Amino acid sequence: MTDDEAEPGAPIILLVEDDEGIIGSYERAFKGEGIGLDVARDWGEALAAFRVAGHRLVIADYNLPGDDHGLKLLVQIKLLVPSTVLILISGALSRPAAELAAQVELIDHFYPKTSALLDTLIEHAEDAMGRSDDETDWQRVGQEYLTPADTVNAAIDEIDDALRADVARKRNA
Amino acid sequence: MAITDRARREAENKLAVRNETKAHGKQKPLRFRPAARLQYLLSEQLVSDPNVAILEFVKNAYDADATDVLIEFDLHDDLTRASLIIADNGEGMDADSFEQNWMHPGYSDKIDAGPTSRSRVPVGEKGLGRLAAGRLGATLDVYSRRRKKDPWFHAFFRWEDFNEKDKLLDEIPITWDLVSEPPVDNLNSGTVIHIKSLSLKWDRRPPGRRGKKRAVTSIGRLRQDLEVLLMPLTAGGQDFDIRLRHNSTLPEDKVGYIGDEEQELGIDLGEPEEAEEPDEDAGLVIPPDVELLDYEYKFDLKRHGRGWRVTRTVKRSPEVVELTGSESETVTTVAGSELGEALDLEACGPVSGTFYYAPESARAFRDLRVPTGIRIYRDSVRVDPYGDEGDDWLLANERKAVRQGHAPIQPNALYGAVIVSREHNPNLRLLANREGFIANPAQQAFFALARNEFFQFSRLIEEELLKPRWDKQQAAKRSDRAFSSQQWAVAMTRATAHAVRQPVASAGAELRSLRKTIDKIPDVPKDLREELCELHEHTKIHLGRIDEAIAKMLGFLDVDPEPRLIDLVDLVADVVKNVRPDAKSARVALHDDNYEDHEVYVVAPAGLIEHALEELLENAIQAPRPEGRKGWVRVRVVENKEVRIEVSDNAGGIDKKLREALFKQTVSNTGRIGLGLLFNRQLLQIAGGNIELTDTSTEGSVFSIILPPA
Repeated sequence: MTDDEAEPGAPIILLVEDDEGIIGSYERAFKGEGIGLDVARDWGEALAAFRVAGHRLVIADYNLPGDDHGLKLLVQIKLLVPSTVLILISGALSRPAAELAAQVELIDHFYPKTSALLDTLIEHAEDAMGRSDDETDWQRVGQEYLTPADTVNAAIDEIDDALRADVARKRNA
Repeated sequence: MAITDRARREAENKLAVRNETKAHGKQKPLRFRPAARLQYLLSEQLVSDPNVAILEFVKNAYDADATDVLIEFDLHDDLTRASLIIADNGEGMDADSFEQNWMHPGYSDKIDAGPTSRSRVPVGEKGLGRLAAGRLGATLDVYSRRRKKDPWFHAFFRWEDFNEKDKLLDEIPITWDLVSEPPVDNLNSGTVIHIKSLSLKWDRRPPGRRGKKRAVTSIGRLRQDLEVLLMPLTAGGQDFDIRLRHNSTLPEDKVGYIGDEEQELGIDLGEPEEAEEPDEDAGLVIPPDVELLDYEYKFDLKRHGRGWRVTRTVKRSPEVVELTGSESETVTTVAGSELGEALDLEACGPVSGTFYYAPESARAFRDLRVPTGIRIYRDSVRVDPYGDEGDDWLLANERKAVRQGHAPIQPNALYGAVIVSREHNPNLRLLANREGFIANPAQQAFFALARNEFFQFSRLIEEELLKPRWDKQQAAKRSDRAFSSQQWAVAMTRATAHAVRQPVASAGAELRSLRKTIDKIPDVPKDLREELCELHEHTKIHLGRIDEAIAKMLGFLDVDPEPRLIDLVDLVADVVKNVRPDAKSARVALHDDNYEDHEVYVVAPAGLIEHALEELLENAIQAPRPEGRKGWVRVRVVENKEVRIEVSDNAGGIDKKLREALFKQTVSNTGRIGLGLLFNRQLLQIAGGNIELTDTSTEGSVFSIILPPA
């Protein structure tokens, strides 16, 4: 078995996406690159998967099913395990929302969904795979939360308020 | 068998006819012999408005050169106890002149009379006004004398006595004496009208729908009518004071003039108050003191040679001058020239008038208690009912209705008078019931002329006061439309971008997988592999173009279309700064040709203009240039009739085919997506602006951003 044909290792990438077309094509492409990919289709599923596997890289669509934003998911993950690399992707994220995402320094990257997005994501995935095995916080996932739950919830509320204010501002404009 | 009065009268009549015929050899001519009931009918039914009956007596006092008139109501809930006194200190009558004037209905010694010793032109010319007294109460006592030393002449009328169809008018005896004293103190001479058993509760609300500006009670309305009885626009002080007094227990403000607020709320007559002893000036009816608030429009129609000319003078308050930039002006023109029809001005005679309009000073107008409306004054005395609420003799309301409420002149801020005289406008004759002029060619010409003057004034207001505001409103509406369109566009664009990007992102991933697969297939002929790789690359480029188009679309979403005050020169400088790096990398010189200290302030949708300018500059920078031509792009703000931003370049120009399609589809001569120009132009057009290709040749092109009107 050559390297190219090797089965992907234990997934270290989590894709949170609800579009089956993207899920299928990305799964094939990541598999072709020999990179394991976990897929979650909503926020709850993603958090559950993350708590189990402690993915090094989480790629989340901004528009997740339900009332919540991918941004909130990423923030929650970042607060749980600060070293996780977080990427927010969107088909049509507004500029204010993108600016808000940038202000939330917990997000590492924001990318629009373009035909070249996968190339960028694979580069990030390769970086994540090459990350040293130094003991980092991610290795302690499942043992204890680095950030107290109250702090996580407070931060989430804060983000929630900021997003609601953003929506209200746009409505009033 | 007793002979009845009637039978005796008929027999006498027959005998008289026979004797007449015998004496003249022919039949006696027929004659009117009015029944007593005629007086009864006239007194009760001649005028519809009881105010008119009182105004008739006040006009009589005016004609009699009185300087003071007192109208005093003694009001009681029991109307048989209620009475009214109208007293004046005018010339007065003795028994002879009373009989001559009062006892001959239709006779008036004022018909041919010239001005009085106080230079008043007599108003009552029909000898009918006094008949209206029956409208006010059951009985009438008239007291009059010419001098203090004379005894008071007193006559008594009971109108019910005239309700006799079988008696002739002259069969009803009117008692009189020279001993009764009038119920008024300290009156040396003049006339006192005392009406008893009033037919109306004057301090109550009269039946029917109340006009918007009318007082609530009958007595309040009488006060309003008295205020405008004499032309208040006459220069100089009036020498004719009218006092209106009453003993109503209602608060003065309830009985007199009623404010807008109470009109809105409906009348609450409130608790009775202690009646206070009136002072000397109590109840003085004060005509409105009109001053120039916003506009004053005077017109004066006069004979000029063989024709007629009208001179118009417009004055504006300092505030309106500042607002409109127009000063006072006087223009003389051929009368009726705007009407396109010949007016019988010979029949009508000279006319003048003044209109006051205070749309900007509505509160001051109200505070002055100006009774709105354009009234007609004949020899300084008002001609009813012109100018009353509900009377639309100038067709102001009709014009407003035709224009769906958008008349240039709002009647509630309009006041004025049109002036005629008995001497100069003899053909403008009044109806006996005091309800306007008799319809005839003079009246028709007069109305047409006055309406035309009002129309000219309306047009002036529309042009200099309203049109600029409407234009501003239109601009605001355009801006609103642009904003709504933008919101709609944002939602549509975002949804479209999302819908397109999902499969595009998938396609990009599949393409990568495809390439991976091609690379993995062993033994593929080299040319086939190269062809597959080429197809892969082309597909990648095409997908990249879709990415770019979507990015361009999304770039429009956050453009702010709201107009705001901006310095265009600053705006241009900012945009130039933004695109300078692109110019530098394209090795194109970018020149901002505006002077540094030049300022061009406009109210405009800055966001749209920035976006459009950025697009034009990028296009100009990227436009292909002939080999060896060193590229430049220049931008400047141009102020002529309109303000525009010009972007010129020295590229190779835009060919005819491209020019025709330029603003119709997404075209580009640079390989760039042409969406930008199309979108920018459409957004600017929604806001009232535009993008134009001003010039193009092989030497270069000039595009202009036309700013929306502020």
